[in-house]
This record gives sequence, structure tokens and C-alpha cells, in this order.
Amino acid sequence: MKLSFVYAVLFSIMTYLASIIGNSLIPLIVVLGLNYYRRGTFILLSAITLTSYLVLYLFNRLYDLPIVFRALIIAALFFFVSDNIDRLSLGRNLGEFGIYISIALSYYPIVYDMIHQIGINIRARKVNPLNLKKITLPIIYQAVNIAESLYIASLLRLPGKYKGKLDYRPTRDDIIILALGVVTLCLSLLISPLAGLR
Amino acid sequence: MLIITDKSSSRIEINDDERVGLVGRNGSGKTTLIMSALCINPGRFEAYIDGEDFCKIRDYRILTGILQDTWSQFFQRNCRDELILMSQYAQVDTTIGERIMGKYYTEDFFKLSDGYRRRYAIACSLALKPKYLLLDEPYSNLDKEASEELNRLIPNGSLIAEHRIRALRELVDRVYLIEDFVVKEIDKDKLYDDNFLISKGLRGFKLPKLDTTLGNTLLDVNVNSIRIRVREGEVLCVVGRNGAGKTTLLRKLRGKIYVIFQNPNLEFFNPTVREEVGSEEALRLFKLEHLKDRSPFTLSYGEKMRVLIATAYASKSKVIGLDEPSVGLDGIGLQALYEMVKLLVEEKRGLIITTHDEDILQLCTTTINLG
Repeated sequence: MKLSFVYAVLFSIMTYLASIIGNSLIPLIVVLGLNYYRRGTFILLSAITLTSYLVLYLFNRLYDLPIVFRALIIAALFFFVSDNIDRLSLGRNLGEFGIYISIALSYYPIVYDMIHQIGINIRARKVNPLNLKKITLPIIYQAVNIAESLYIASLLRLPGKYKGKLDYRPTRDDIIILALGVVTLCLSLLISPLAGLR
Repeated sequence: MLIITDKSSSRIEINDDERVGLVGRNGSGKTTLIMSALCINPGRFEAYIDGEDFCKIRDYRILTGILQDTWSQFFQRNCRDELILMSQYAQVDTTIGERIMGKYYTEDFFKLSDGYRRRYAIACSLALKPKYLLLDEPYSNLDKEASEELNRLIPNGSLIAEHRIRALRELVDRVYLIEDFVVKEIDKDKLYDDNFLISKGLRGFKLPKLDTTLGNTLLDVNVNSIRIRVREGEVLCVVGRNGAGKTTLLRKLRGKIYVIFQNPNLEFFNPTVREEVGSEEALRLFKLEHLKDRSPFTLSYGEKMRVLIATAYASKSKVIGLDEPSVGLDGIGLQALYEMVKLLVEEKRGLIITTHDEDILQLCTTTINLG
């Protein structure tokens, strides 16, 4: 699925709203289902859901379950949207500012890899991880390096003025996800809440 | 015609129908020349296209460049999206990207091999259909196969700045040599003369064979069903093309050996070389005394490798792992690496070197080929 930024945000808002004003179990099931392809995430979130239910049941606090469900909905939405968002739509929906955001999102794995490598080297070299002066040195140097390279690449790769136009026309995937958001909201409002699930 | 000049004795001419090489050791001015010509760091050199000063027009659709680090030159996660993004700024020919990237046109950048990341950078630059292209050390970190593929992609009207001569000399029509920012044209036959290459600090010559006497076993483990055994005085080379798993193998040996990875900038945690190495003896042995008060981040690549190897020596680790240590080293750096390895071997340490570089295979006592 490739979702436009605006419609991914709309879907997220509708789903979260459904958990607040309606039956929070319905949107939770929907977003867990959307994450089914991410086996590890799906199993983990499902396990947390079941565990939360059992713990709250044992302590007679089932009325707190919707709060837990909403937190899980946010996490599941984040995973789903970050995997399926069309980064180029950020430019179509937000203009040139959106382009910068999409570039930043593309660099997240590099930053993660850099921090991961530095962490490995800190352990290997037996550097005190609480010594901020030491551990920030390579991070700052590399961050400046990346920024400089990006600047040069933007000069060479993006010559001329930005000509993109704002475009909010939904794609087929956007329509599907919007429809799913509307159905989730309606079902959530219509289905009678089980004890403590409103 | 593209002319790059410093308005005195240095002058490079590039016609539309030729590929020109610019060779020089590290620090000789290759990158400075390219950055000046592209008007990114204007100053020392100027570029003229058909008589017109490029800095006055600064149109990167006519003259563009490909930098050494491909990992920080992308804006989207795959080539197709990259070209779509670029098309919002200038006209691009996406068929060029499809042709160059082939089945990897929509592949995630992070899943590409080094060779295909280089192709990604070239595809994006060529999609703008520039008349002239400046490439800064494009063969860096490429194995032989990837280098040969790269040669097929570099178009006419290109200036290729390199110190890896073996890859470059089959490709170019003419060659310039840069020394201390002074450029002069040289005969292409010089690139086959080992004495010339060594005297100018260039690569392309073979190192002498390293004599060593093997002692007791220092390490004997299995990694991914591969037996890694290192003895005193042994240099075990793990060879293979890009993406074969050499770095992964070294990562799994962390904790058992002292490993130095490819990006030295992620391995310095002290403000000065002296504090980083932590041993006056190591500073002296590795000829770092004149650099001891400098920040390791300000050093050249070869000097950074020297600091890391000195640190490894000072750590007293019996086995030291080096991941592609010759990447980024010129001829002088390569000879220095030879001397450092020789020193460690004489100290009865063991070394594991992962490499695809034919120039350093003479250092190897034993070789494991990952394919």
C-alpha cells in the first residue's frame, strides 16, 4: 500500500477518535489487522493486549482497558503508517517543505545505523557511556559530515527552482484507507460497548 | 569544451568525446579541484564551458559531479522515487535510471551493494543529461567486477579523479597528474610504470611479499561454519566481492578480537591523538608524535587508519581485525599500511584483514575466499 500523507493522517485521526468516542476494541482490531504482515509487531502487540486484559481483570480495573487500547492503537498506527506512507506525497501535500521532511525520513536508517555503530564501538573500546563529552564527539562530527554532503548533493541533484504543485487527489489506496477509517468509526459508535470498553 | 584552470600553469581540457583522468595522491588537490570547478567551494580553480565562466551560470544540468561518499547522496529510498523528486526541480530522463539500475530500479537504497549504490548516484546524475561530469574517486570501495561495470557507465565528457590507477587506466583517453594543486598532462603509458606510480604516491603497484614465521594459535573459532584460525605472526585475509559477508564475519568476532571498521570517524572518542592512542610507545612506533596534539577528526584518511592501528597495538590485543583497511589509501598510505602490518606481525600478533583489494593480497599468509 502507498498512502498519501494527508489521507494517512486523516485515517489515523479517525481511528484514534473512534477509540475515544466509541468502542475502543474495534479500532484496535483494525490496526492490529493492518499490521498482520509485520509478524513480530503483530504478535507483540497482540500479546500486550491479552496480557493487559488479564492483569486488569485480575485487579478489577477493566475500566482502564480503553486507555491501554488507545496507547496500543497509537503504536500500531505508527508502525503501519511509517511502513506504508508514500514519502513523495509529502511534497505533493505540503509543498517544498514536505520534500525536506521526506528527505529527513529517508535518512532515518543512516542515523540509526550510525548510532548503532557508535554504540558498538563504545562497548568495544570500553568507553564510559555516561561520559557525554566522549560519546558525542563522533556523533557531532558525523552529523556535520552528513549535513554538508546533503547540502552539496541538493545543489547538484536538485538544480533549478521547485516546480511541484500541491495535489490532494486521492489514489486508490487512499480511498480504501479512508473508507476503512469511516467504517471503523461507524462500527465503533454503533456496536454496544462490552463492560468497561467504552 | 570544458576547461578547468587556476589561471597560471594548471589547465585541464575535456572535450565532449573523451574521458579524462586526474590522478594524484591523497591531499594533492583532486577534491579541491572538483569542488572549485563545480563552484561549491570556489577559489583555487575555475571552470569554463565553451569560454563561459561556470560560476556565473552555475547550471548543474550542464556540468555536475558525483562525490566519493554515495551513502549520503540520496534523497529517497529508491532510484525511481529519486528521479520523480528530481523531476520537480529539473527535466530528467527516467529511462536512463531504468537502464542503469535494471531490476534494482525500485530497490531500497539500503539493500543495494556498494557497486549498485555507485550506479544509483551515476544514474541520478546522468538522468539530468549533463554535458560534463566530474567524478571524485568513483572506484573507492568497489571490487574488480563492480569497477569494470562502472567503466561501462561513465560517459564521454567526464573527468575522473582517482588514485586507484588499475581501474582507471583502461578507461581514460588522456591523463593529468595533480601534485600540491598543480596540474600537468602526462603520458598515459606512465600509469603502467610501477616506479612512476610509487614515486607519485599512486596505487597500482603490488606490495612486496610479507615474510613471517608462524607461532602458537591465538584464535580458533567457527563463524557461520567457517573456521577462523589465527596464529602468532599470521595475516589471515578474508577475501570476496562486495556484499560477500566479510564485514559481517568481523562483526561476529567482536569481543574476541580488536576490530577496526571501515569508517574511522565512528571510532574516535577523544579530542587528541595522544589521548586516543594512550601510549607514548605506540605514538613513536607508528610515527604519530608530530600529530599527537591534533584532533583525530582533522587527519587524512591514511593518518586516521594509522591512529586506529596504533590504538589497537596499544590495547595489547593479540588478534586485530581490519575491515577493508586499504579503502581510501593512496600509494603512500598503502606502503605505510604494509609497514604497520609488518610491525604487528613482528610483535607476534595475529591479524585478520577483510578485503577485495588485489593490491594488498601480498600481505596475506592465509586466505579464506567468501566468493
